Amino acid sequence: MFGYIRPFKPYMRFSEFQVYNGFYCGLCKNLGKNYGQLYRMMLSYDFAFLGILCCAFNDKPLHFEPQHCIIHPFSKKLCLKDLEVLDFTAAAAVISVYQKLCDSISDTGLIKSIPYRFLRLLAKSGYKRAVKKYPDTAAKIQLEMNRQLKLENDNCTSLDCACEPTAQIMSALAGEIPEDVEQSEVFSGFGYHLGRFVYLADAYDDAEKDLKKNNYNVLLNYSKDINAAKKLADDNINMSLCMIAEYYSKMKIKRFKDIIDNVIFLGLKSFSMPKKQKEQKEIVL
Amino acid sequence: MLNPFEYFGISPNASRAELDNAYRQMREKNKCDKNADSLTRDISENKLREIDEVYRQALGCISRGGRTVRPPQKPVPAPPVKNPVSENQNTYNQNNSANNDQTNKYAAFEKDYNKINNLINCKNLQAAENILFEYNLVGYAKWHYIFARLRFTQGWMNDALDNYKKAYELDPYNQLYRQSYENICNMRDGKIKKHSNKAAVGIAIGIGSVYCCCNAFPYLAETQSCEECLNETGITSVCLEPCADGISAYCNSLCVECCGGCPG
Repeated sequence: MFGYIRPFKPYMRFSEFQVYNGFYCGLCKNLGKNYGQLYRMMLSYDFAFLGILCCAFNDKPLHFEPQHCIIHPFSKKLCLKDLEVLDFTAAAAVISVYQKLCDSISDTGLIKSIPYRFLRLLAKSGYKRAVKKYPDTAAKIQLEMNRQLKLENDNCTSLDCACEPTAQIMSALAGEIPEDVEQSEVFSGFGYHLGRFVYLADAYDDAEKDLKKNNYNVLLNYSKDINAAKKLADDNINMSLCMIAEYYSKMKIKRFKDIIDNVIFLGLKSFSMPKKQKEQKEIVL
Repeated sequence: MLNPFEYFGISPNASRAELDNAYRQMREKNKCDKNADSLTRDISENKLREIDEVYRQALGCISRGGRTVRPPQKPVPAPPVKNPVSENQNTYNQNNSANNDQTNKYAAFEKDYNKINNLINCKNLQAAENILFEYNLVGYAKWHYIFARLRFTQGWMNDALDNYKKAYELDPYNQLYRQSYENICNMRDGKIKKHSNKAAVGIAIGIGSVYCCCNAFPYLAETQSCEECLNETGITSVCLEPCADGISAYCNSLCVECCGGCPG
């Protein structure tokens, strides 16, 4: 549903897509089992990708099985059975979602924030469970989210500064995956630029809305002209994608290389393509 | 020492095409039969390796225009000094001392340049940033270049792009600055090199650091060139440390292009 780190379906084999969905479904089931049904609705593709990275790095055999779910009551979908491999990813997702909720509450006024406050109340127990399992990661994410809030309040004008908190979060999450130090550095760098990409893609998509509502958007601090702001975002996204590719080539991945290749080389760049069929323009072949 | 041109039987003024031809013919002659015994195969492989080695030397000679020694080091550009023009003696003295301070600052920066470089290579980025902000030589190309390098290593691509651009604009004749700026412009325009998943092969990032083929020592040497090819594209970065494998013949004084790749 949400997330900018998506696969590029036209170039993906059907079997790979089933495996990808298997991870997505597996993460959904893990969240439901460990942290409550509320977090299942806040699932994003970004964390499904993190889950795939976790499993791509080790050799543990994974079992996939067709299973039902609420969203697909009539047909069975391939789903990951070994849910414990996604424990770290699920905890990371829970912590991030909770922190974002807290951010939204601080951003909006008292009356508008009532539904968010209600959600936060429901989500608190799951969050506490996640923090208990991974306290260091939780502390780091909280620190960076606070920093992000402060930067937005101060109307930060430097693009790199504004991207820094999200990038640091992703870097910390990715760096936790491998065990040896050298690969951990490579993964950290990979995660850093992935985080930059996510922030910039978000800013790119929200540019028009923020211009109308006069919200904070770091791109608009450079230029009030939408096209120039989007071009700036595009340039920086390209540079981050190049760095992602550089780091990726140094990663020692053991499996799911095709899926990760598709996401990195095709999926990331396609974030600005129209997602709904009716928005697509005419193609001439 | 073996003369590579004599080895291939061509004149020292031969062109690249003639050298390639001679190389191909020699390889054809020394290729051994698949069904030959292991001893013949070993001898043939050694011979082919020797041919490859001499070919590389000949290539280097051709690109150097026949030279076999490294060219003299490029002189470090003198720091800009303002001319003191004033009628008042006091102002003259003040200007003079101010200019002296400026000159001292530039001289001190030149001395600290390698230190900052090493800090960046060792990923001690906060210390490097502190020193650079102390100097704050905005308008001096070298400062902008090393600052861009720092920002690039930190991952702050927008700042890196701006500073590489500034360094290039302030000193457009410097090949290193031009190459760095071109590389980051390529990145900005979305030209991703699709790498194969071979983690240990030398990857020339081209900006900021060049990793030795064994990924052991990121090093950037601006005024030294690869002994073999004097790479005209401006990648004059050399790995001066022996390859972690101990086979220094591959990495010592060769740029990543000429280095055959870490055998380990």
